[in-house]
Amino acid sequence: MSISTFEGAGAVFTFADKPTILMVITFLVAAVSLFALVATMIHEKHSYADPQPKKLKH
Amino acid sequence: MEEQTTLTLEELHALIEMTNTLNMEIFYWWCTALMVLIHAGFLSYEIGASRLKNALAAGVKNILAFGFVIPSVFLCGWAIYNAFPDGLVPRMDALLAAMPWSESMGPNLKDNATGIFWGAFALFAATTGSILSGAIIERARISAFIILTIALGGVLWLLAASWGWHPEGWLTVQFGYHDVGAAGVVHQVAGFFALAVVINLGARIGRFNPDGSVNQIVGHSMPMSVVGLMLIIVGFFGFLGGCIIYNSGAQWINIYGQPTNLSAFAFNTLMGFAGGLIGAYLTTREPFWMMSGGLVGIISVAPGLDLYHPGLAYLIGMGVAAAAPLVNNLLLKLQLDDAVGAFAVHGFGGFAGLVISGVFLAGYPNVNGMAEISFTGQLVGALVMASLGFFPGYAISYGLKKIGMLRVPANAEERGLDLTEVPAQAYPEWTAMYGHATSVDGREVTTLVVEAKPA
Repeated sequence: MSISTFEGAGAVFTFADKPTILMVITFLVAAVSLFALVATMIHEKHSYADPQPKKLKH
Repeated sequence: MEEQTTLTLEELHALIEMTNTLNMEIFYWWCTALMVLIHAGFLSYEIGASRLKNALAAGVKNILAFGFVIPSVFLCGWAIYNAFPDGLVPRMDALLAAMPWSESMGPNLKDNATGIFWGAFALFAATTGSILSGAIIERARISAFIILTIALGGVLWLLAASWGWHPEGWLTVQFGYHDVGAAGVVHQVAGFFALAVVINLGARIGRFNPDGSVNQIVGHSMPMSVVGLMLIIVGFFGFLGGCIIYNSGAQWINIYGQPTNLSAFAFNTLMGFAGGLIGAYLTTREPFWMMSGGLVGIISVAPGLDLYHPGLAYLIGMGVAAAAPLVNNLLLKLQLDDAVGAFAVHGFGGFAGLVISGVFLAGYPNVNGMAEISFTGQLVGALVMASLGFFPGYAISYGLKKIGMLRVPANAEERGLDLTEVPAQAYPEWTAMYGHATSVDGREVTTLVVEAKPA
């Protein structure tokens, strides 16, 4: 919570008054994107090494 | 009896101002929503243009473009747009003000503009990713596509926009660069980027014979592709609406501050579209290229949507769209396999549109002391956009190729990417694959074989 009243408020988003936490959150967003990219690479590596359709979910 | 209250002049002003602000928000909100249709269209178009064995893999790429490009624009793209209008040296105050932890980059009751413009720019960014994805279907690794699309949508298009689609961009101020409908900053950058990637990626297996002749590789559903292209056209109305500035209490202005209106955009978008359809029809008679020609028509008139006479827009759209399939044929002669003609449509369409606009719009005035529109300015802009797309695209894809990360292995490509990497089925009963079989007389022939997938 970054405000105690809407009277005269501007930025109302969570942690708006805590830039350090916002930077951590930003870092996490970047990290998730990077993780998803790495996960894609790992998925491809396994798919190409063992391309059987057993990974189908039922 | 209820007492009538009379608003003061100040209160009336405040009311009008708030109404204008809300109208602005509503306008861009729905432009952004319509732009999502561009991606629905690209999804359908590229799935249809893929062979059955790659249908879902093409779709996965398209969906992921959204998932990666939008946070990229949040994390750095918006800051790039705001900070680099002078070239490669950033304006630090603008850079910091647009970083993800700044007050304007989230719900803010005193800022009705940033989020809605950021949203439109994020959708423009995703459009560039979709343009790339079509060119490289059926053989590019998804991970390579993600890296390339983040570079294109999260960085390069925003740099292009900062230079040529910003009221203080150096191309705008020094050269009078005029590109209201983003033919250069979106389409041309993405088209040339795609061409560079296609050069390093290589053709799909079987596309070219050793003697250089071309084999047709037909997508599994042309109707799906054609409907997708029509969806893209619908989405373009959101895209082009997002190219005009809602100027509270006054006439609409374009991105450079010159007065214009939606009527101008309506005239020239539709006439360019119609001209493009006819142009491609005249040279191909083929529905895929006719609809692509419609896109070319719109893109080719996009630089001057605010200034062209509609008849001229029709003729420009027709001429450029008639030439686009020939440009694609030229790429095929060079053994470049751009699977959906992305370069011909977006790269060539944007480039030709900018150069032609230099002929017809030269001498038009600008505002705020910026140089007037000129042929040289439009040509310089077109060359800058081509370079900004091509060289980074070539360098990144070359690097990925060198470390073996650009292209799927040959066996996966031949078998089909759906069976290899997608844990789902486009058509549950069966998946077709092209392979080899022995005919009754003992010859090895290329044929359609069927590999069953557990239902």
